[in-house]
Formats: sequence, structure tokens, C-alpha cells
Amino acid sequence: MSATEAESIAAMLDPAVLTRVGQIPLVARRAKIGSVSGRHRSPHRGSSVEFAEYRDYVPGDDLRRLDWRVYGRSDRHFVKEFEADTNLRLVLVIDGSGSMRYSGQHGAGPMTKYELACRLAASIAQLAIRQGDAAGVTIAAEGETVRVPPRRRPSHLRVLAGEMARVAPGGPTRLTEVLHDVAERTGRRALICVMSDLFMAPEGLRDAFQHLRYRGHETSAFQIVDRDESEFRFEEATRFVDPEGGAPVLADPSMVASRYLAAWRRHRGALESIAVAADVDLRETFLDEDIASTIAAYLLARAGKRGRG
Amino acid sequence: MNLLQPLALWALPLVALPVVVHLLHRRRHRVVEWGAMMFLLDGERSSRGRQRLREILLLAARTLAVLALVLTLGRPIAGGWAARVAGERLDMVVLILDRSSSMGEEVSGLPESKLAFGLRGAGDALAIASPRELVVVDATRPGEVLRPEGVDALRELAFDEATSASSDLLAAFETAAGYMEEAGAGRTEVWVLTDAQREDWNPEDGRWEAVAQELTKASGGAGTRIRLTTFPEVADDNLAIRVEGVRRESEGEAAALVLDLVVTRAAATEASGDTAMRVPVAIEVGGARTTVEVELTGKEGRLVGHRVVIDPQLEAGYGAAALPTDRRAGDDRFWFSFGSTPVVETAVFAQSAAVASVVSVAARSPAGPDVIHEVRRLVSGAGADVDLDGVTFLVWQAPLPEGEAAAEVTRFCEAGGVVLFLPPSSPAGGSFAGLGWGQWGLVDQTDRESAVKTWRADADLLASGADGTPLPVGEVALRRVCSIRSVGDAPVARIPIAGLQGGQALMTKSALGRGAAYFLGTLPEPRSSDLATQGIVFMALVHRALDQAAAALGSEEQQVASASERWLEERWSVAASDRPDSLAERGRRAGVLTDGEVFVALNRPLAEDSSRPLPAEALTESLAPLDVVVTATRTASEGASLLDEVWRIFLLLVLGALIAEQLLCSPEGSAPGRSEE
Repeated sequence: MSATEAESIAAMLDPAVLTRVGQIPLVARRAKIGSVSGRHRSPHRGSSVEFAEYRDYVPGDDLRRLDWRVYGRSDRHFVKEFEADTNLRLVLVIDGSGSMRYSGQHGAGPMTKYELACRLAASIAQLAIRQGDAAGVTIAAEGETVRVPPRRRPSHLRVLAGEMARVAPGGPTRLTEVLHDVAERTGRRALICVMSDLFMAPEGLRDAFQHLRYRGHETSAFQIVDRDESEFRFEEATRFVDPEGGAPVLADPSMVASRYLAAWRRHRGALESIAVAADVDLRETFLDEDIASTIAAYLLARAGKRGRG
Repeated sequence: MNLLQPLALWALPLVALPVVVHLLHRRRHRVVEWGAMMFLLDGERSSRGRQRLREILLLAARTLAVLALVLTLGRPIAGGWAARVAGERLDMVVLILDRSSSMGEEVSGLPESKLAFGLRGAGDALAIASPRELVVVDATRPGEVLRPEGVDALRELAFDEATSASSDLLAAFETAAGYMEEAGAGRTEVWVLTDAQREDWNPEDGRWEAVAQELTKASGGAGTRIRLTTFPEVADDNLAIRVEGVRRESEGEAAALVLDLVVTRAAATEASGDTAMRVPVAIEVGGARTTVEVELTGKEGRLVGHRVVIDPQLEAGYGAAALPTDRRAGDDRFWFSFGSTPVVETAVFAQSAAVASVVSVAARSPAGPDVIHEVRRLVSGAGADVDLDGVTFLVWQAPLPEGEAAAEVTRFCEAGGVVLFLPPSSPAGGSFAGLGWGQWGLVDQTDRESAVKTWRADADLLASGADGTPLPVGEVALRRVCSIRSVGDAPVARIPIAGLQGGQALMTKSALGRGAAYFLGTLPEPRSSDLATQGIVFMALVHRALDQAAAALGSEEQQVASASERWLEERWSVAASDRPDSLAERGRRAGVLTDGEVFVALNRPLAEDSSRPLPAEALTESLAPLDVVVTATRTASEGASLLDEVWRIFLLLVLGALIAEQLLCSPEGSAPGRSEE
């Protein structure tokens, strides 16, 4: 491991972030299937103390779970169900394409979008492992897909961070391909956290998200963008070079700005409708945002919206 | 379209500037690694065509702005007035110049006089209009027609300096009309540069109508257009100075000049006229210069009896009182001369010794200290060769002159002399200036009716006093009266001055050139009337005749500058002047002329100081049926003068192009002020 990678790992695992958001639990909105009893709901009804619901008895149900008191009062057979808690499998999917190299023109600092994605991922992974969940990472890098399977060991965190630091973003986007791969490879229901600018055709993304959902995974997506990209704040004529290998474009920003922004809004709208359709928690994250606040907001939103799976 | 400043076309390559800037701009850009290409490509692809179009339009707008600016600097002239639009060339342009003193005032905002400014505009216009013939009439010398060959020759006339004389625009128009008729001008325009002072224009004069008709006729139906370029603005708080009286006083060894000065100001507003102010007046006499302050309250400040000590050796001389130069420099200096007391000589040619002595007494009685009156008696019977050299006023009580003598007397009158004919003892035939003697007739003493019943009290020799008190002409007792005949169809106006009851003329005037001949039907001796004993009327009559003749002949020291032939005589030379003088304008320039003995100070007429400009309607009205275009120039920026300059249109073009450029430049689809969502 090189010195820069070590620095990157240290930066990713910022204790200040953890201090701020450590008290908020990372919760799954949909039930997960885990091997260890944990703080996440399991789709299996179990024998925990958490009451879930009554339902009519059907032949074959375990008679031990029949609520005799209700039967005594109403002469009807009800089965009392309890929720079974399980542990969470967190898979962080990071987009390592060329467009993630962008670090902003307007005072956003030296961080690239990829770096922000890694920091977010590392912090979330750290949170998950601390509460006993398993965290793994899949990076859609240029020419390769880096996969680190989920583990619950605290030392696994350094493995994740090391892999993230090793990969240099570049090349065209392979995110949809990787997402399909993740959907297939992740056997049990998991929480998939996508870190990407999502600069890709919405149709492909929709298929990938639907695939994830179909496979029972819960998906969150952090769309990491810079304000340059969302607001297109350029004054003078600029040659825009595609980091993903496309043809460069020389444009007078004043002339193309409105069309650019319209395309941006269209794309954003498409993403949002996909997110709704595929039940994806889509979050727009700007490069100049505070990581701790972003994560805190994410966690709080999840904790508040705990639903059923 | 023509350009007044074609040199501006050298700036035309600047039109390429926006293109060059555009090309440079294309090369100069920064490079950004941009992830969000998909949106950019989307925007770029769909707007590429529009963008190109916009670029071209932008370039066109910028180029147009520069082009219009260059053309504006070139002072474009549209094809101009009707004649040029119709493709017809003007046959003749008659340029009437009002070169009166007031035209020397600077146009506000320019260090250039109204006349020079107007003349420059006229020169430009002439260069464009290029008429076949150019005729110039100088209204300060309205009888003369100048025909400069082209614009350059017009500039060589150096008419851009105002004179100190007054203008007679009516006479100038008459001359112009006369010339046009003679030359058989076709399509003619009369261009007039004037500040339209009432006194110069004299709109009440009945002759305007005739002039307008003549002008209409002169162009032979081809149409005459009058273009008046007026300068109605009068400088605010313009100060003018006059010397109303000068006399030399000596006491023992010391000598001094006693001056009466008046400083007036033309206050534009009532309020500005109220403030009191002190004005320094420099008085220059014989090379010495003293300064005195005159306090103005209201519109006028007077300094009466101001003494300036002079060298006692300086018996006669001249000087000037001057104000600090303001916008109208022509009235900031007033010349005066002193000491050389002019001699006003009366010649008496009388049959009757009594009459001669009465005339002598009357003519010699000094009316003031400024003039020396002398009387010369012509030898009776020597009528054949009358010597009238130096004579101002001639009294002729003898048979009317004939032959040589008549020609001499006519010359004398035409030069400005005044002759008073008194009836001879036995009137014979013959006439002078359309008048002759009839027969003596007794006046019935009991019949009070036959006393003088009518006389001209408003003007001329029997006018009332300055305060309106009439002369007691009606109380003159007449014993006998010689009737006055009108003879022939005289080319001169015969004006009755006084008449008896029943219409019989007692006194008649016949104007002759600049002078006049008066016929008085009675004699100042006891057998005929009591004109001698009750001397008031006769005394006034004689002295007014003397004044009138003296003024006309220029025997006075202080004179009004005018285009008089007299000043062109060889004996006069310029002792001092406002400006370097040309011989032709001697007499029309303020200054001091001398013939070696006498100094004559010439100054602008009083009217130049006070006369207000006429409104454009009054000018148009006086030339009523003609097509009159009045262009009033108030400030330099308004100087459209005689040209239809169209630079404003080009300036609007510049503005329009710049606005279009701005609109094209603003981000597409977002109106200024509306924020992006």
C-alpha cells in the first residue's frame, strides 16, 4: 500500500464524520435476510419480542403461535406474528468512470467526485460494520470490476478503503453493467448503495434498478455532482473535453447554457421518476456539501421512514 | 448620399474589427475536462444551427454598428431637398449674408461666430448642391452683387467676419430679385444667413410684398425657395458699451476728456436683469489705458462725466472704451474721437441781404460745443459756378439753379447735403427736383384761416421736440406766400412738410439721393412772415437741416458704420480698428478713420445692441407666398443649417445595432432579471 493510498484511507475513514453520525443507526427500509440476529428486520417471522400482526390461522401453521387468548374471547383462530430481526448486508457500488474525476471549477476544493463517493462509501461502511452489519464494495472501474464481498469484521473496513483508494477513475461508464452484475451476484437481500453521477442513459439505469428491486435488494443512490454541472456557470468560450473518451466540444457557454440546463433538468426528472418506480432512495449530493451532514440526513431519513418489506 | 467629411471613410477598415475580434475570440478559450458531456452534446447539437445563425447575426450587428459610426463621423448628407431628390440641379443659389454686428456673436458652444458658423454650413451645402451660379449679396452693402466662382472663391471673400454696420435685408432681397430677373434664373434658391433682428429685417415695410412678388416672377415659374438660417439665440448677459458723449476740457496746463458711458446688458430673464454687477471698462486714449468700474443696476449702467486726464498736447485724437470680451465681441468696444471739432458750413446764396443775415444768424448760433458753424455767402449772381465744396447746408434764395449750377446742387444733395430753397423776389420758371416756384400771394391778415394749418410733426424739419412738445408752427404769422409747383413726373418723392388751410403747400420736401431739397414758400423777413422775429421755428428748421446734412455727409465725429462711398474716398485712412481692415469694408468696420485733420469714430448702430430677433413666423409672413424654410440654429449642436444632415439616422442605427447585439448576447431563453430555476 502506497503512502498516498494510506492517506486516502485515512481521509475516507474520517473519525469526525463518525463522531457526528455515529449515534444514528443505519437501518434497512426493507426486510433483509441475514445469518446473524441483528437490528434489521428479517422477512422471516420469528420469535422475537417485536409484535408484527395478527392473521387468520391457516392449516399448517405452527399451533404454538396460535393466540389462545383471542380464541378464548372471540372463538376465532388468529396467529400472532412477531418480527424476526436480522443483520444487514451492505453493498456499496461506486462508479469509477472518467466523469467522476471532475473536481469543480468554482472553489469546491481539491476533492473529485470519486473521492467524495469513496468517503461517503467508507463512512457508511464504517457505520454498518460498527453496528454489526456486513459491508462490501463493488467499484465499476476502467476495464475491471473490483469486488470486495461483504464482511462483518471491523478489519474489513481497511480492505474496503484500500480497494477504493487503489482504483483511479477513468474510462466510460460501466455502472449499469456492474449493477446488473451486483443484482445477480448478491445472493441474499441487501442494501445496495450506489455512488455515481448517474451521467448515463436513464433507460439503462432503470433496467438496472428494476433488476435490483426484482432481486429483493433495497437501493439507495447518491448522485454526486458538482454545482458547475448542475448550474453550468461558465462565462467564456470553453473547450469541453470528455474524460470518457468522447469528442471534445467547443462551446460558448452563454449560447448553450439554457439548452444544457434544460437537458439537465430533463435527465434529473427522468432519474427521479425511475427512482420512484424502482423504489430507489435517490439523493442529489453536491461536491461542496459536508459529508457528515449528507450522511446524517440520509440516516435520519431512513430511520424515520422505516417501512415494511 | 454624400459625406461632408469624406476623410472619415479612411476609418472604414475598422468595420473588420468585429470579425477580427470574433476570430481571435474563437482561438482563445480554456479547456475543461467535462463529465456532463451528454447534456452539453444535447444542447450543442440541437442549437448548432441556431448558434451559427446567432453568431452571424451578432457579427452583422457589430459590423453594422461600426459602419454606422464611421458614417456618422463622416457627417452624411442625404440627397437633400426636393431639387436634388428630383435629380435636378439648382440653377442659381443667391446667398444673402447678414453681416451686421450682431452676427459676430459666438454660437453657444463654439468659438465661432454665427456668421462664420452659418457660412461654413452654407459652404458645405453649396459643395453638395453645386448650383450653376452662385450669387452673394452682403446685406450690409445691399446694392452690390458678388459672383464668386465656386465655394473656394466664396471662402476667399472672407465674409465670415461680421462688420459693424447694420444690415438691410429688404434691400438685399430687392437686389437679389433684380439680379435674378436680369439673369433669367431658373430653379433658384435664396439662402439667407441672418439673426433676424427686427431693425435689419424691418418686417412692417410695405416693400416686402413687392419683393416677394418679384422673387416669384424672377424665377420664371421654376420656383424659388427661400432657406433662412436664423440664429435667434441672444447671448445671456451680453454686455454692450457705448460712449454717448466726449468732450475735451482744458484748464491751464491740464487737459482731460469728459466721457459719458453707457453699459447695457441683454438679460435673458427678468431675474438675471435684477442683480447688480460691476463691470470694468478700459478706456484707451492716445496709447494710455485707464480702467474704471461701471455699476449696472437693472439692464443699464451709466457713467456720466467721467474724466480721463490726457496729455495737454493732445488737441485732437481718438480712443476707445472697452469691456472684457464676451460672446458678442462686436459690442464690447466703442470708438470715439475728440478735439477735431468739425466745421459745419452753411452756404447762403440770397438775393435779399435781410434773408442772408437772418440765415447767417440762425446757422451760426451754436447749438452745442461740439460743432463749429460757419457761414459762407456765395456771391449773388455767381450762380453759374457754385462752389459747394465743404458745404453742409445750402440756402438758396434766388432763381432756381440751371445747368452747371443745377448739376452741382444735385450732386451736393445726392451726397447727403440739404438745400433750402426760398422764393426769390420775382419767381420765374424752372424747376429743381420736381419742384418750382409759383406766384407770390398776399395773405389776408384778418383771415386767421390762412395761417399754417398742417405740418409734419412726427419727423423731418418741423418735428416736435424730443419730449413731444410741438414747434409753434401754427403761430407763425404769414403776410405773403409763394406757391410751390410740382413740375413734371419727377422720379423723386415730393413730401409735403407744411401746408395752409385749403391745401396750399407752404413747405415741400423733395428727397434727392441721401440728401433733400426743401422749398419754403415764404421768407424770414418782416415783409413776408415773422419767421425771423419769432425765431424758434426758423432756428429749429435751420439746425435740424444742418444736423441732418451733417449726419448724412458725415461731418460729425461719431458716426454709424455703414457702407458709405464716402469712406472709400482716398483721403480717408484707418487710424484704428477692431480688426485688420480691407479697403472694401472701410466704413463698415468699427474704428477710427482720419483724413489727416479730422478723426471720425465709426461704431455699430444703436439698434444692433437692442434689437430683438423676429420669430420665424414673422419672417415667413414677410415673404408670404414664397416657399420659405426656416432653420433656427440655437446651439452648435443644432447646426443643421442649410443641409439636411442625416447623421442622426446613422446614430440611431448604431444604437439599434448595439441593442440587437446586446439581445443576441444575452443567454438564450432567459430574459434579463429572470433567474434560472
